[in-house]
Amino acid sequence: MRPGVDSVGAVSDLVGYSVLIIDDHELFSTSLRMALRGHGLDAHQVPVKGVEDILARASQLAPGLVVLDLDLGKDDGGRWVNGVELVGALCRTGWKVLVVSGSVDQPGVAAAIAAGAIGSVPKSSSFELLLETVLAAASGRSVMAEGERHGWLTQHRNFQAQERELARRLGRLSVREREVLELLAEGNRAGAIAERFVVSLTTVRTQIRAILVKLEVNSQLEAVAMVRQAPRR
Amino acid sequence: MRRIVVCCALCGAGARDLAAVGLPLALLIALTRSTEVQSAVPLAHFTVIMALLAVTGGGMSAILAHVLGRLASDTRPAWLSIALALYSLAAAPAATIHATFAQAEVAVSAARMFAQAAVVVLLAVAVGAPPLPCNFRGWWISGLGLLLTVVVAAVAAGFPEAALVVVQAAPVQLGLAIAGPLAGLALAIVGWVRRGMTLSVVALGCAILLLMPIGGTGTDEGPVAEPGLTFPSTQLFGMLLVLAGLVQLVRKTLVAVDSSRAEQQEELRVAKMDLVHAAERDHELRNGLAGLAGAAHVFKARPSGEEAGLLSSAVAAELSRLNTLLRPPDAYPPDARQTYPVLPVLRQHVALRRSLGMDIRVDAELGLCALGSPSTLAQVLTNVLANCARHAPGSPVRIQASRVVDTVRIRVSDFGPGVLPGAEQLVFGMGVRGERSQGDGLGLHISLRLLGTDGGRMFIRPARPSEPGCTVVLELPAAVPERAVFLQPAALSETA
Repeated sequence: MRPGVDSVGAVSDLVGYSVLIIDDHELFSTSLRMALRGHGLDAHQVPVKGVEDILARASQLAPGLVVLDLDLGKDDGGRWVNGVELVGALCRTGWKVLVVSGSVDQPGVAAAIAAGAIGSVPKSSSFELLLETVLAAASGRSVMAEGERHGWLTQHRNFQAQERELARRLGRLSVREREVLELLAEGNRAGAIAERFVVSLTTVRTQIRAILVKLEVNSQLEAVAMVRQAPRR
Repeated sequence: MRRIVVCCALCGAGARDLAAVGLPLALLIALTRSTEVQSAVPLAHFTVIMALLAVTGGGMSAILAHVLGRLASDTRPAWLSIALALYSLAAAPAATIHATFAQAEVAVSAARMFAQAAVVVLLAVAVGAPPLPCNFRGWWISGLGLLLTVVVAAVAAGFPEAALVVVQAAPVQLGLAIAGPLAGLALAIVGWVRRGMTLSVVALGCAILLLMPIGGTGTDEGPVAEPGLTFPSTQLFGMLLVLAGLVQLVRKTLVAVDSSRAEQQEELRVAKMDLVHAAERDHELRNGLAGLAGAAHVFKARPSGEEAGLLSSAVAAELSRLNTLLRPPDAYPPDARQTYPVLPVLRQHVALRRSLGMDIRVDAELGLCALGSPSTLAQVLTNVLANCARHAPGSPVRIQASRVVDTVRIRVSDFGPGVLPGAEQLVFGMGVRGERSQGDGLGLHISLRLLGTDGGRMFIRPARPSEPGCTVVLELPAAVPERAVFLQPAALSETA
């Protein structure tokens, strides 16, 4: 159980405290902003427009707490890098970063905590708990035990090692093989890929075999699992 | 009728194969019978080398045929494999021993003829291709054949007179000389008749392999029994044919096996991707639930009128989004298409977006009707307008709807950063998101599929330098108002 905000006194310290909510889910961020404003905090929703934009917006406010949605492990891992960049950059300018995550996204949360986030709350927990945690974090209380933190850091190191290995193997693929792999990972059939590139099915099958060999896996299933794990630009 | 076709195909394939095999064979025989060649080649060495090669080839062929039988789950190559193994183990060595230094030995002659007969029998069995005796591996049959050959040789050595009578009997010799090629030919015919994997070339090779000199046993030399270059050469030629045919068949079968394995893997992968997409949807649903929980929390505090309005529109938008996510595009049966007016759907969305603060205007021809489901258009519009709000925040949005021939064309334009040239198709892919987008990338993809079920399509107009922003074009099949049917040129020409 996380520390609760029990009295009006604790909240009155926070009047005017800046909170930035970075989440593309409009309803969630609107609700959270309104709830925090109800407690007297100076909460803002930031439209998600890239790292520079958010940092520029943050620099206009007195540093406070950032509530950041980390939505990683999906197709376009661009945010994997950006999210961590964002956490690092915000921490350097004096902001505290609390991560909220809609899914069990271990690598993303681990990376964010390694980059300096003070804790994480799953979105699946109740809104009240989430609000309490945000308020606790804003009032400067710890929202994560030291042991938990160490656990995340260890995980982060493991994830990084895995990623390096993944990147090494994916680096062996040719441009076309990489394209084929992406299409496979989107759930396309070999026949559809052949049509798309105007080549024969045999050619695509040969490419798929080459991909499996280069990725050191035995099945297409493992290959697409790899490409979905891998961070991308 | 069908029989005639089959016969023609049979004759065609048979003639082709026979010609391809027969011509080189005739050439080879002519060559080896010419006196110049015969005088130039040391006969004894030649015979031994040829026999060695034939035996080696036989061993390889036996293994290949065995593999082929297992790969294709076919008993015919399995029996062939047993025959070839016995040929290599018994028939070819006995024939070589006989030809090189033991022509006068009746035991060797008997062994040679028995082994040959056993091979012919196995080949005949391969024509019928009965299931292999269970708990009885093929190699044992070959081993048994070898054992029996040795026993026959021993018996012949024990009773030379009786053995000589049998070995020199003309019907036995003639029968054996004819039976081998006949069995091979029968196998070839089975190959020509059967489509798919054909053993014809291999079988013709076997037929040539089993050509043997008549006579040549005991002391006398028969008319064909010329222990010269011809028979060792034809044997090797036959073995090469067998080997080549088997290699080709194994290669084809391996390709088929590879292909079926790739298909199985593909099925697994596609199924897995469906699961992954379901997981992504779950993730989006969880996000939506978190938002709704938050809204419920805020509503408890009875927010002011303006805030309540904002929040309830956000709730409505979220609910619509969740609805879109949850409804599988395949859920629309094709006969659900109906004629509906387009303008009310557009106006509804414009009003909704305007209440959320978007500068949006619609400009549409009156009386536009589309064929399909109005809820499809509504969902696609929700997605497209949400994209505008996300990628071109604050930009005015213009919707134009008009009829172009037999389609209703709806253009939704914003004045935001637009789509990179060349990426117009890509943004419709599953999980493709803009750099700035934190959406799930499902929106446009789902929209495209939704429209597709109604016979419509959707694309992004290539960017023009003179007009910044992004224009999404939706095309729906236009419904023809009843009265207008007579004005259609096509309808006129049909009635004329």
